[in-house]
Amino acid sequence: MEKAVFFKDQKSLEGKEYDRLYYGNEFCERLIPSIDDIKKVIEFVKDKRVNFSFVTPYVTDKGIADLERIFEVLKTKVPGCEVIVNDWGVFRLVDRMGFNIVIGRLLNKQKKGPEIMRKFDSLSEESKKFLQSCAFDNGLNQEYAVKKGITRVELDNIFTGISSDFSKSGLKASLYYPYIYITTTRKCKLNSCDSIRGSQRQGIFACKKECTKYQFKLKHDLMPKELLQIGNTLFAYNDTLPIKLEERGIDRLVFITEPII
Amino acid sequence: MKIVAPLDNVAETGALLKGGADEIFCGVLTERWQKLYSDIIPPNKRGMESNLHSFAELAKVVNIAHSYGKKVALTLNAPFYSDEQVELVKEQVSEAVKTDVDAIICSDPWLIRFLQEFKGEVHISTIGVSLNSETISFYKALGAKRIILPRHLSHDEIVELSKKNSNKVDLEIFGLNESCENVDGYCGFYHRVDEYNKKLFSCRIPYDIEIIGSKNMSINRRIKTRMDHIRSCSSICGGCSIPEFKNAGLSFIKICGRGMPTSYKVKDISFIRFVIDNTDKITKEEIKKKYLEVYGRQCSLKDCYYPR
Repeated sequence: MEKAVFFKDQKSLEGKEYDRLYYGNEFCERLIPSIDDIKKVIEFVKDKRVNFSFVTPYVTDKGIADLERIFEVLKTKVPGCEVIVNDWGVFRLVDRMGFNIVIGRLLNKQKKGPEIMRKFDSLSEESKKFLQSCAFDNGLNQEYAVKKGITRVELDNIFTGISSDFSKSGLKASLYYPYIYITTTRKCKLNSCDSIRGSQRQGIFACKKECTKYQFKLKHDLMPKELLQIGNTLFAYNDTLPIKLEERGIDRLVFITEPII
Repeated sequence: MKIVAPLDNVAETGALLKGGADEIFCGVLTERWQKLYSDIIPPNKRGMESNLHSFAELAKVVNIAHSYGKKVALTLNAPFYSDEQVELVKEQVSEAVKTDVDAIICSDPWLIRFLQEFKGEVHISTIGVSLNSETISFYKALGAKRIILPRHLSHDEIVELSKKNSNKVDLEIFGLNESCENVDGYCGFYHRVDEYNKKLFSCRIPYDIEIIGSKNMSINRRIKTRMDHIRSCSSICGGCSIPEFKNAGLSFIKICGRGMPTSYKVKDISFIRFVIDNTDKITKEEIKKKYLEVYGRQCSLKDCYYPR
């Protein structure tokens, strides 16, 4: 089992064992790392002699342009590195640039809300199986992925468990833990959340990256698990790993040091 | 610019078309699917009350629409279909083809590819999250004729995207009702776990909020007010943006509202029809006045699809 760590800063790696490092952002194009930060991380990765995966978010055309500049740097400094894509437009861009393409946990869709655990045991076997599956569990999507040169797909450690088997698909799979992303928005709740004007509006506006200052815990009797509002994304915590992962082609664990936005 | 309107049952087809809809979109939830997967895992993100119940009903809707010279699109836009569901979905496509339906709305890559043989149009659902020009090109290469843009683009981003892509594919935007506070295509919440969840979606639950990282009580109060405010936003209307969207080359405007009474749908169609038919001569103030006249309430930023 390959051990990867998705990290935010070098301090969060203290005491961790890993063969690969994940760096980047999945949820907000405004938080795509700067080229300077990426260059520093590449130096660190080379120094540690570990593999590197660059993580990308869903983006507008502005984000596409930002990523294009980063990919030029990656192409020179770490040719053939992995790029985790969470947007089909980014996939198209990466495909043209010759990186090793991995379908991230936003594109490999899964149902995730903890609220399903109120009902899960009473569902039909067909429903249970579906709720443990994902978009690339489907043979036709697997076939398409292989044809397009995709090598790996990624999964969240959802509360319902995982039934997917990639062992005969031509794809490998990774499992993210312990923070499951539940949902995400561009109408960010944290945008201007600490200003009087901000409290009266909702939509897509420029921000002061308030997400770097505040985080929330959300609790309610109707939600069986506590939710974390980190930036524009809701997360839940699940550190119980499914068994027999490698037998099913899930050969990489991606430990997330903290919910990264 | 054409109006794409929601439909739940055969009986309302004529009313929607007479009311001014140019196209209709609807789903089919068969008894067989319902038995296997219940309301929690529908084939198109809606439950029994918002779906036709058979392909025979779809055939009737298509016949009526065609008699008016209008089109019908079938939604097969679940975020994904599992391996076990593939044959069932293929059967649904095959049944749909027999009805002569004009388009299928979908987003799962295998299904888009499977529909390459389909003689009708493939429309990419908002679930396909087409936020950028590259994604639009990706879906076009798979065979898409139309892209339904996500709710999570600003007014200016939509205009820019449309100007860049006007010759590639048809673009459709949301004009009224049911804004999701989360990106539909990346949302893992359920809507129909039980009776509570049907009435109160997980994104709308009045959670107890604990703020980490701030001990400033005044800021914390402000943050909680903001969270409550967002939860109460309904984002129902994009009327003011329509003239600029039309000028930017957007061709289709979707009215959400599957599950709403026919009279509401007809009212919505009449409002959007008024805006579309008068885009060249109407001001924003006149659109707002019409909104007040039709709905009996002032529009507000809280209810705005594309606030600026």
